[in-house]
Amino acid sequence: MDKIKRHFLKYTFLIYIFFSSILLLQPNIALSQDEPLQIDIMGGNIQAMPIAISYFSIEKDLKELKLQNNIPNLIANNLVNSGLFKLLNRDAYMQNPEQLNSSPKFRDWRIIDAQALITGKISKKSGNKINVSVELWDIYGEKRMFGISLSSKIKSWRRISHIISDKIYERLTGEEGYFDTRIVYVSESGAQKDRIKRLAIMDQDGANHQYLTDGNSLVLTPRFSPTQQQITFFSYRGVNRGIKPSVYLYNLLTGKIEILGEFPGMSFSPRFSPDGLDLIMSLSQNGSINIHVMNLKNRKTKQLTKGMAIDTSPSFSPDGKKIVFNSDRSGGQHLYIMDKNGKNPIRISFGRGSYATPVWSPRGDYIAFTKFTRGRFFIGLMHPDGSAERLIAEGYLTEGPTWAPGGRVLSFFRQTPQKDGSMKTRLFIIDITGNREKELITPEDASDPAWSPKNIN
Amino acid sequence: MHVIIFIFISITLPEIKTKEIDYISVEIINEEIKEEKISQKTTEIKKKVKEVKKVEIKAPPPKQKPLNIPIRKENIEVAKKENIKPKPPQKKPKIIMPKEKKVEKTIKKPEKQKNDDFFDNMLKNLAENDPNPIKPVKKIESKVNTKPQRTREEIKNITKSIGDKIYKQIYENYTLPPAPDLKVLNDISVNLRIYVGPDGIINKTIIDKISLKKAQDDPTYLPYVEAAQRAIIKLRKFTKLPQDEYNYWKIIDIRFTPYKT
Repeated sequence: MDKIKRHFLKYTFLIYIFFSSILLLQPNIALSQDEPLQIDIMGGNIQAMPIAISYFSIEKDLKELKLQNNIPNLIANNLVNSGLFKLLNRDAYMQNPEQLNSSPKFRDWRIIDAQALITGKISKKSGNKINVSVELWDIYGEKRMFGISLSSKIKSWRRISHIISDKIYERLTGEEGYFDTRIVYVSESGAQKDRIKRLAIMDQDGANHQYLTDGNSLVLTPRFSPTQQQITFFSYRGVNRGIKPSVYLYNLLTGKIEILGEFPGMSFSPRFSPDGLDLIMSLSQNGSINIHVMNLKNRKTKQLTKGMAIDTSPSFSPDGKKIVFNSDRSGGQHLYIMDKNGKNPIRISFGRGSYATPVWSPRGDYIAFTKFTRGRFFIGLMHPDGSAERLIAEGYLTEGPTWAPGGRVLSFFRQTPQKDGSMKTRLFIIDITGNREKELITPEDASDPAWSPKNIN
Repeated sequence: MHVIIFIFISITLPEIKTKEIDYISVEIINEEIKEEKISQKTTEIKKKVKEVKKVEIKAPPPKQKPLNIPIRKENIEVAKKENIKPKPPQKKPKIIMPKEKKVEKTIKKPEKQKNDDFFDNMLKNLAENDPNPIKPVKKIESKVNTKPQRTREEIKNITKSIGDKIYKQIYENYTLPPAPDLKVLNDISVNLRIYVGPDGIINKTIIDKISLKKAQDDPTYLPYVEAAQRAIIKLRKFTKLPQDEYNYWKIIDIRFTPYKT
């Protein structure tokens, strides 16, 4: 009986070996004909997305205003200027605006390789108002991607166009749009030795340009408040009256300018906190420059950094918990991050050269800065922990990065020497990949741009 | 798992343990021969063991196919749906069908050989009564013979060659979505499965569930899914893929990784 048992167990073992050998053969099965073929597509072609933006259909009464052309043209300008889209020639469109009031014939649009189509309709509303309805179509997916309908006074057609542009941009890229925004900057004119510097403001596309100050006193580093109602800047405007160069506040609604406290030394490099309740800046005192924060309600200041080093260009993180600034405390000029109360400063830049004007991105994932190394200026980016530093723009004098809402596009200024010995100073836009650099057209030389948050509707 | 089972059996089988089972060595077989007269029951078991050993010798073909069955069924179900729509030419389904039968036959195949007289006789009897069922078997066998079993290396080379052609055609049509970003997200790869007809036409695209969910939740990810889909729609049809290797490319899983990190 024992033997039987023994043999039975032996053969059971053999069967086990047999089945386990089948299991061991499984890797071969993975290569059999019946497994789906695995393909990894790494990278892809980089090119502007070809889009078609049809003229809009419009009610007869409104035709004279030419909004049926102006609105789609402005949307097209915004999208094309972002560098991400390519407008397909309208002569090649096979459907006219009226035909597009219903669903488009996708096949017709695929012929010209349109990947997205924008159609629209403008109708009249009471009270000198218009209603603009826009639809975005996915040509290859043969579906409506989104639609929007806006009503406003006729004179606000530009803002309507910008808002629509933002929505289209957001749907196609997944990123926050930045077309319904403004830029404040320092407009420069006159000889190099006797430069006139004025505050100026314009839409992000250069429209609605206007000067905010008269140019009698030098102005620098304008910054928007989160509510867009105020601009803070540094100016020499009180020097004639014995006031040291200081930080000022400009109210965009009233046009009033006020000084933000009179300090024993100079105050400069102002910037609002994300909630707009505080203002952070540098104050010079007894040969040292330290960072202070001011409560805008009670105007009380608190010193955040101490010592004989030069600590300047502070910028809050978007959550308001941290502050990035530059300091020469370690010898060279480098970037540091500290808590909002000034504690726990940590150096984050370690490369060769000097780092300055750090600005925390609205998304919080990058810090933009100016870097001077090997006789050249650069605009660079790094993560808040100092990692992944890369330089995205360079020039003879390239400085002053500012973030567009969404944190994927920046503006900066670049000064370029001319053959006649003069300097040409211009504003530029660039995205964080370092691609799609584009000049922002201004009436005169321009420096120190500051991008506004999104307009409040 | 194997090790655990092995250890378990080894521990629970003191008999085998003492006899130093260096696996299924000849020693064991010799032992069986010596003990032929033990009992009828044991001889029956021996027969089974012999059969098992035979199977081991011819293991690779039968083993692969039975295990493929469940996978195959899944694929076929979906593929059939796809194949029905375009109604591919008759020749092409023929390529598929014999292979499907092959699976069934190869399951039986070892049994025929192993069950010796009993199973052979049964087949003969069936053939006498109704010759029809045997014919397809012969046909299939002949087809099986025309397509020799491929080594793993050969299969690798075939899939690589097909994969390269497919990669090139997809890549040509794949444009990154308009995004001003290096995408610092952890994973922005998009997974799709496509079903291709024998004529190369892409009949169906299915977005991977995880990718789909992510696209619904994350507006920055959605353009990447749309760009991947667009590439497939633009491509529409594969060309220059080997017809006789259709089974290798009828279902393709594609992973789009827009940015190399």
